[in-house]
Amino acid sequence: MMCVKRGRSGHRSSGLLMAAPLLQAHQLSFSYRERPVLQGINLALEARSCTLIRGDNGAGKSTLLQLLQGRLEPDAGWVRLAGRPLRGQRRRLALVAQAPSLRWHYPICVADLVGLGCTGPARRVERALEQVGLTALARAPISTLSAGQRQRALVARAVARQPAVLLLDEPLACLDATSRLQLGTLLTEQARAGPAVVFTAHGAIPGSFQNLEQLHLHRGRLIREELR
Amino acid sequence: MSPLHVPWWLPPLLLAGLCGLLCPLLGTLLVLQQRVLTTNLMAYSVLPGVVVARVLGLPPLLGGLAGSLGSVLLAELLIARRRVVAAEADAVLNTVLASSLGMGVLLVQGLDLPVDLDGLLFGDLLLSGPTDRIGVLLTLVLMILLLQGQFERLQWLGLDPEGAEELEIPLRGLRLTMAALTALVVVTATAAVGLALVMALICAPALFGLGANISLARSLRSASAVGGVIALVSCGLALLLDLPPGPFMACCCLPLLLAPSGRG
Repeated sequence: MMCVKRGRSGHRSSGLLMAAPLLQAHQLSFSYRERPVLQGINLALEARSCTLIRGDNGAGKSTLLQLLQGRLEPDAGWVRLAGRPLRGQRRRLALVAQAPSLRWHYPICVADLVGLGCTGPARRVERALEQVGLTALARAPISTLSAGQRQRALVARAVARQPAVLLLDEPLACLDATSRLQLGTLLTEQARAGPAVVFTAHGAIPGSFQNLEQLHLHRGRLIREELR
Repeated sequence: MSPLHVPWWLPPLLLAGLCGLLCPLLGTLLVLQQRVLTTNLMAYSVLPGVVVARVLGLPPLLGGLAGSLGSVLLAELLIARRRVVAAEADAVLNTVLASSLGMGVLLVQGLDLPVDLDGLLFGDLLLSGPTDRIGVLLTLVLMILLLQGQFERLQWLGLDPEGAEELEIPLRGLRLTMAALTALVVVTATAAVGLALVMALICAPALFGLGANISLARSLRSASAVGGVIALVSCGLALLLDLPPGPFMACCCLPLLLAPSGRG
């Protein structure tokens, strides 16, 4: 199966035909023990694109994002960034996991968490915090954040790194209506600025998400949905 | 009296103070890395290591280090072999811990070795010598060098090891260094508080320091300062009251747990 995608410019691109999409997955397959989760996934993402991957619980959305980021190794197939294998350039992909391993009791404030691993100027951290609406909590210990605030802090951390590809697993979970709208605007802005943005979601998507490509993960395969 | 005369109580007090500064630094990192139980295992495994070293005529420090690191290696191998989950891993660690202690006691009694079991388990400051003080001082210097040179990686290791992997920040070397340094701290501090009680000095001031919950640097400073004060005061009182310093120090650590935590 091949997934054909269209960039924001309307340029038609294919995972197999185009020279080097920003992020390309080819014939990805993955199983947990003997249970196949993903089979023959092809995906080609261009810069300045925003893609939503939908799917039921257990469909393999999180697994797919982890494969795209290189956190998991596929049983078959490969993932390339700018035409090259992921090894050595994983830091160019930021993944905001649904259940991150981050230890929230750690003694660190929000701004320092966002800045950890961010090699750019301090202004970048301030800007990321502004974008997710956490400026007022910049000096607060991360252990005091609510679930929604934690989610926003993780998004800010990923955004501050200015990755080539931004992967977010269920970023709308735990967020209130205002924060969902804010996140929609932020991710749309991010996609305009350069990186490819990919996120997963279950329910309704706020209207602030624009130029969204939609894919559906069903029975281990990726199916393209109607364009918005 | 010679101007170079050192009062009898000063060397043990100095050793206690150094241990009080050192142990909480390690403890703060270990609590954050969720490695406290592993450290407890390392502490108890000093005993068979020291005994085997005695039999082979090797320095006790070397035996203690080998025992500590060997037990962790054994536990990790058993955990990997059984493919246990985190909660079950604790059970494996505890079993290896008890077995190590049992093996040490059996070796001492079975071989009828002249090993000061009480001193090893509960510490004996009055019997400590210059080697003990130099050992703790050097370990403290190594710990400070590690904190100075690897502070950001230590933060990754405690806060978000998977995130570090995502950024391809290598942590394997740091993990090994931490294991070696942990063994060194446990073995060198044994002279002051004993292997059965060293955990109190490692953990309680660390928890106190982490209570403020603002930054790792501040937590480390607070923990070390409190550990130093606790060690000096309790050692001084123990000497004054003619009580064993190790157990006294461990008891003095308990009230630290009553301090408020700044966690939300």
